[in-house]
Amino acid sequence: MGVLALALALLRGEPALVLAGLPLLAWSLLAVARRTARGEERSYPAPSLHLNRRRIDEDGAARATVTAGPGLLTTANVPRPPHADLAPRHGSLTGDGGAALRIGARRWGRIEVGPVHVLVADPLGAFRAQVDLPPVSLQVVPSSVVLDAPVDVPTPIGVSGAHLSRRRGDGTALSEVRAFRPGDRLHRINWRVTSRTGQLHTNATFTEQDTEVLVVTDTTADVSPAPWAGEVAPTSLDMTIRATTAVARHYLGVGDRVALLDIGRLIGAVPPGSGPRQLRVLTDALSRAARDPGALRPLPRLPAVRTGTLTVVCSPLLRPEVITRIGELVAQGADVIVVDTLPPSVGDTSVLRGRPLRLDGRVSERFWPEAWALRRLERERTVRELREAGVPVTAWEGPASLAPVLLSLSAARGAPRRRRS
Amino acid sequence: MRLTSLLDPIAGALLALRGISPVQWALRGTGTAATVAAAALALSGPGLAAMHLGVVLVGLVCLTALAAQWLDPDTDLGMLAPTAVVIALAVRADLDVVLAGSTGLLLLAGHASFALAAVMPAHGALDRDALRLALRALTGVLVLTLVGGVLVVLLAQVQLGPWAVVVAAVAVVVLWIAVMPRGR
Repeated sequence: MGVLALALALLRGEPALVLAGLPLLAWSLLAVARRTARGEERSYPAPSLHLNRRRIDEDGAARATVTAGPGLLTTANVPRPPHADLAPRHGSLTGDGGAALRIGARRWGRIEVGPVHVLVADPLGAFRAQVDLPPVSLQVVPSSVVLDAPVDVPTPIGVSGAHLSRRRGDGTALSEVRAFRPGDRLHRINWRVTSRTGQLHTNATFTEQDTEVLVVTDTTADVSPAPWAGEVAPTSLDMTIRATTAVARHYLGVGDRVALLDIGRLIGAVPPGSGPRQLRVLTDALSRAARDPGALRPLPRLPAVRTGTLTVVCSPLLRPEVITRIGELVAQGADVIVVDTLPPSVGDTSVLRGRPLRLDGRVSERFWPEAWALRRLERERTVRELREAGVPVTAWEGPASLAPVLLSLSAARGAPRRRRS
Repeated sequence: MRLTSLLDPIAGALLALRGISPVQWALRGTGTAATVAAAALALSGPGLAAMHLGVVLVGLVCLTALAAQWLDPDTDLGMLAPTAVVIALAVRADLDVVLAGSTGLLLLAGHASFALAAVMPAHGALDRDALRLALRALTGVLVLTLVGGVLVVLLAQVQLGPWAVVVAAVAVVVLWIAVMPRGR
């Protein structure tokens, strides 16, 4: 445009016309001069994508930084991943030499950040180059609440650990003071009782044992909460994973060995282990899982479990095969607890008024709420049958969900039993 | 035809407007205002009162170019508006330094605004550092324009021979080659 003004000024012999095109000519000349001076005639520096953290907690945030080079307008466009928030909201930011976007995770699992479309331009916007950067993975670790439950297990089966057993042996909890026998340890002699009675007495203690906890996770179904439950209400899979993490963290914290078995094959099996390392292995396996609904596949066979193994099954109890697997565990002698992870809003009959529900201003013609209400009623029968078979079923309602069940299981183990003839 | 089928696209388009970021509204608004002001300056004055057809033509070209730039700030159609304005200035008999200079500055403001708007998508946000970088670069353009403008005003009073036309033509061609857009 500036050159056109110069040409017209030349043709018409009108020097003032040069002034009309001079600003645009200066704009172009400065852009060309700057590009030449910086050696950017052929290409701009290749931009790169960097995440400040590869693993974050649920409801945590990471920063994705696109860097191109100083003195360049760098625009990063990140498509919004599912179950994540971006800041700026639409995932597009222009910065000087780079752009940093905040990614907030609302759900556990693997988040693909990208592909990121990057546009690099000179400060005047005269020359531009674009490139698509490949996506990078961000692992979101499920938030594991601290379970408000007793550390007791019904049947400790290990040889050492934190749980008080009913057997006498090496430990710290006093069982009784009794007469010294050959073989007793000298440092356990109770000198006060010995001096009073004139006979050697020793302190007898209960042994302390650990146990093996098997957490069975049912990832075969992901049932969304009802529309009236709100956008942040967790799905059945969210509740399952949160319950799994909380139970695993709870028992790993007291020194037990915890194994994970995924009967949905979304996560895979995690062999038994203990300590903080096992917690990392478990949370890593959970956070690497992609939310792939997939097709219905046959459930894997359960491994053989030792009698008395505490088994916590986290499931929305929708597939008959899962109920069968619970029955198999009970038959093997495991102490089974079922954590029901079907969202409470699914099949909620309190919203039904005998006429079609109006959701988002529309009347649904598919009667989903009514269908789920019937399904929940049908499921109630399954839950009742499980309870009648001696399997406690408790709904996942947060950290305090398991406490009454574990206490009642321990009490049931310690209670006197009628002898069966 | 149901009323909802007519209203839904309109409502959808209005809702889509909410996704446009404030910085894009500001840049495209500035670009439009500056271009319209440049066209108004170029078309104003008693000398052009009789050129009804030309005024309408320049106005239509400017409106078309601006509409295209609102939809896509990077479109080549955007160059139509400055071209029409410069041609309108060229046909004026009463062109003076102030009018040409102010029109040129307004064209620069419009062009720079749309160029910045084209760097980001319609929903994109602009960082403060990026804004400062762009403003620094534009300051350099203004300084260069000022220096060049003073030189033009001073040199306009110098009488040169007919050979100067040849030198000027060569200079124009060289400038054209220098700033001509080229692929990488």
